[in-house]
Amino acid sequence: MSTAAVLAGLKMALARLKVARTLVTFVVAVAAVLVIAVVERAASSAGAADRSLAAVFRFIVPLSVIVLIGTATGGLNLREAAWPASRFGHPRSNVALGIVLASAAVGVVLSVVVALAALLASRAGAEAGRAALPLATDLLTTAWIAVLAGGAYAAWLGFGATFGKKGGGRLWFLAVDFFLGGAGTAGLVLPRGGITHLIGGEAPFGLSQAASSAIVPAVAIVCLVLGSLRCRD
Amino acid sequence: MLSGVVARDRSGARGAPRGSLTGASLSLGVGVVAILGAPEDGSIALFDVLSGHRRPERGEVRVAGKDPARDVEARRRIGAVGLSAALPAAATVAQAIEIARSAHGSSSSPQAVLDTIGLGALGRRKPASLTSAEARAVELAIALATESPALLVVHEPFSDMARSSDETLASLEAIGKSAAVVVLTSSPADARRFERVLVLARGFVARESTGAHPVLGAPAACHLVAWIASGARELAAALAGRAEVASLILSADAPGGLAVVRLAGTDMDALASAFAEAAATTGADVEALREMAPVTPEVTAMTEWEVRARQLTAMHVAASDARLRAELAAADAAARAAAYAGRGYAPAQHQAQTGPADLAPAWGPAAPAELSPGVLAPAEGAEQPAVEQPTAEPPRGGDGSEGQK
Repeated sequence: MSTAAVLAGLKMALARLKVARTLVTFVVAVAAVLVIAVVERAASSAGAADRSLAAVFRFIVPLSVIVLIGTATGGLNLREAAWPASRFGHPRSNVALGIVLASAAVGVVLSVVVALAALLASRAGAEAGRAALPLATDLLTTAWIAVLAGGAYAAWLGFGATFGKKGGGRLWFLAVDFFLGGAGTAGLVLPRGGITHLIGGEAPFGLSQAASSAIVPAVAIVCLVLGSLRCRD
Repeated sequence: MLSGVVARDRSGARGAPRGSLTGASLSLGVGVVAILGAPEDGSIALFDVLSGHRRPERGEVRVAGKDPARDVEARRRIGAVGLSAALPAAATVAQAIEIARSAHGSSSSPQAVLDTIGLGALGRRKPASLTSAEARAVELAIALATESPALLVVHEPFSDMARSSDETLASLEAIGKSAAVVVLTSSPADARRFERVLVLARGFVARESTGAHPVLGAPAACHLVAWIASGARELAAALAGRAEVASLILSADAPGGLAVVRLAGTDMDALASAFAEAAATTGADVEALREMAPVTPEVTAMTEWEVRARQLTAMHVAASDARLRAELAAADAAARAAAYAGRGYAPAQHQAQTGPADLAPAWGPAAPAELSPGVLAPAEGAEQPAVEQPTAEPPRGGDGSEGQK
């Protein structure tokens, strides 16, 4: 593992992410979750936070992270996206790993921001005693799940970006996650299954939440390794 | 070193190939070599495999004994400047150079790299703000700063480059003293700056020309172009009668009101002498005079002609070889038949089939009747294929300011 190559990939991806598109993604995501939270609260204040967070982790985070991955790779296959740095002698797999790690870092920030925004907006004005958890505990738990979700989706979709000439595989990976990432067997290894379980949804394969919270980062690490391997020289 | 390389680029629309290599083999040592070919002939595909960007679909590429597409050590010793710049994304140009230099663990500063080509002012700019010519010049600076280079491959170093051609040429030749330098270009004029020129056609190296003035067009074709301030019509009239001048075009469409005289002949020295004498006789005011490189269609025509000639020669040799084998087999059979006949039990049909004349094999490779001997080799005095005369600008008609011999 070449640290210089991973750093080169990180720097390159962060430079690509410093564009208006990233800011627009953040703004649109936050605006969307605020609308969702207000609508859910208007429908029924009981469970509004849970329903808002479900929408955040099932739709907003994956869709935002796929935009971030596309921006970080310059709309290219991950292998091609690593070329501008690897052409000088950096190992391509390490540069690709750096690109996904940078996307994951930004994805985690976005995920935490939108999740907390959804939580606060859906709990605003609700009676303190009606909530299942104290606000501080709820914030911490939500933030932890958001970190897992942002990182897991970045790794999953980054792996997807190694397929297709322009990295179009990430769209297929997103579709697979949407349609198969439920409580079934596939949900065990797909981000949607584990994350949904962590926010109170159905458990894939009947696992405990502790197991899901271990499986989600483990699968993310496997995706990082596989994506990196697919980009090796 | 390339051996039977088959590769495609992805520079067309939606990643479609624009050109491909169809079995290119090439061995390069220290020195500068120009490879003349358009992207459709596979020049981008060649750049991609040499720089390690893509693996060939078939064949083998070795730089310093290693595959550049798989070996990072090989890539560290390759400097590459492509048709479109591919600088690493970074906040500033200096940071982009830093990313490149970090692969080598180099201690030289980005500013020092830029200063080598006089572009130090670009260090604080954003890479996205650079023009294509500036970005390619930065890539050239990085390529020239490669430590212990084994290969420097540069695509079109004299166009779309924010650096003078002479400086670039000097830099390439300096690197060429210790490493292989490959210059890919589609311009015959740029290729002729180098003493060794390979012509890439339809995906393989079709021709090679070496020497101070590489022959890229027809072997006995030379062209002069002169810009005339006054007396162009008189000069053209004087030149029209000279035997050294095979064709002449006079046009008055050059910028600044200058007339342009284009001459073609078979002997450059004779052509230049005829021009000088005519200019002295007529008192024409000659602003500039230069030798013209053959235009791309002429190079293509000559390349096709040579490739076809080689193919016909190969077919001819194969046909002669087959005939010779048949004749030897027949002679052998006849000899055996004769030997059997001497022992008194030879079949009569053997003697009937082979006469005495058949016993002598024809050793000389007689040309098949359908082949024209003039096509087999571009010999001195052989009739050359008709090629279009190079015309940088089409002559303008209507005002009576042009004439053609």
